[in-house]
Amino acid sequence: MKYTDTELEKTLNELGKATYAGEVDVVDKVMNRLKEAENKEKFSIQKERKVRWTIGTMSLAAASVALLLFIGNSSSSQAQNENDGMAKFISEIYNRQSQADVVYYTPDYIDILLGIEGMDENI
Amino acid sequence: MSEQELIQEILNGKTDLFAQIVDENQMNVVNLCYKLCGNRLDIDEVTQQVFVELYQALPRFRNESKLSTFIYRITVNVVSKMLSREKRIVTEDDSLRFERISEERNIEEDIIHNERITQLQNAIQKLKEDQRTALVLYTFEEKSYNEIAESMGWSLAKVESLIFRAKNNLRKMLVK
Repeated sequence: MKYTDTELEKTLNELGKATYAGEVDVVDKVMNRLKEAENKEKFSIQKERKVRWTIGTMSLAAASVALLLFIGNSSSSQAQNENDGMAKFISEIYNRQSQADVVYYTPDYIDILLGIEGMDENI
Repeated sequence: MSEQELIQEILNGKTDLFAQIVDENQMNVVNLCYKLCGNRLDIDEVTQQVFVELYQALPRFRNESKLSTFIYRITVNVVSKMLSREKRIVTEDDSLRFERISEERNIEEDIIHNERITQLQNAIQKLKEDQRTALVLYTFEEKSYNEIAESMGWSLAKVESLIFRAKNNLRKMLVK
C-alpha cells in the first residue's frame, strides 16, 4: 500500500528532526588531508618537471646526433660524388688516350681537357 | 571578517583559514548526512569528504548564494555518490550513538519507525539530483521556496515543481 500525503509529510518531518547524537570533529583530519593533497600535488609537479626536463634533454641530444649524422652523411656523399666525378673524368681521358694516337694526346691537351688551358702562358 | 572575505583570503593562499569554515559548518553537514543516510555510512568519513570537495570547489563558488547552501549541495552529492558505491561502514558504537526521536516508543515501534525512515532515506537517494536537492533544502534545511530559487539559480515555479515531483515520486516508491 502506498503512502498518503499525510504519512509522507509525517515521515519527512521526523527525518528532518533527526540529529546526530555523536561527537564529530573533523577539522584536523580535513586540514591534514588538504596538506597531504597539496604536498602530493607539489611532488607530482616536481616529478613532472623532472620527467619533462629529461625528455627534453634526451630529445635535444637525439636531434643533435641526427643533425650531425645528416651533415656528416651529406658531406661524405658530396665528397664521394666529387671523387666519383673526377675519377670518371680521368678514366675517360685515359680511355680516349689509349684508344687514340699517343702523340696527339699530349699533356697539354689533357690540360686543355681539364680546363687549365693557357696557364703556363700566364705564368 | 565576512564570509566573502574569508573565502577570498583562502583563495589567495591562506589555506589555514579553511579550518574556520570546517569548524563552523561541520555539525550542519553531520546532521544532513545523518538525515540522508542514517548509519549506513561512516558519518565522520562523509563529513571529511564533503569539506575536501568543498575546498576543491571553492574557486567555483559564486557569492550569489550563501556558503551554507553551497555546502548543502555538496553534501547531498557526496552522500549520494558514496551510497551509490554501496559503501556500508557501520559499527555497533555508531548505531548506538543515534538519538531516538521519541523516547516513548517501545522497541517494536522503534523497529517499524526505523524501517520507515530507512525506506524514506533510500527513496530520497533514488530521486533525480535536482529534485533531491530541492526537497532536502526545503524539508530538512527549512529553506523557503524563494531562498532555494535564489541559491540554486532556479525560478520559483521550478522549485515548486521540483518539490511537488519529488514528493510524488517518494509516495510512489514508498510502501507501507
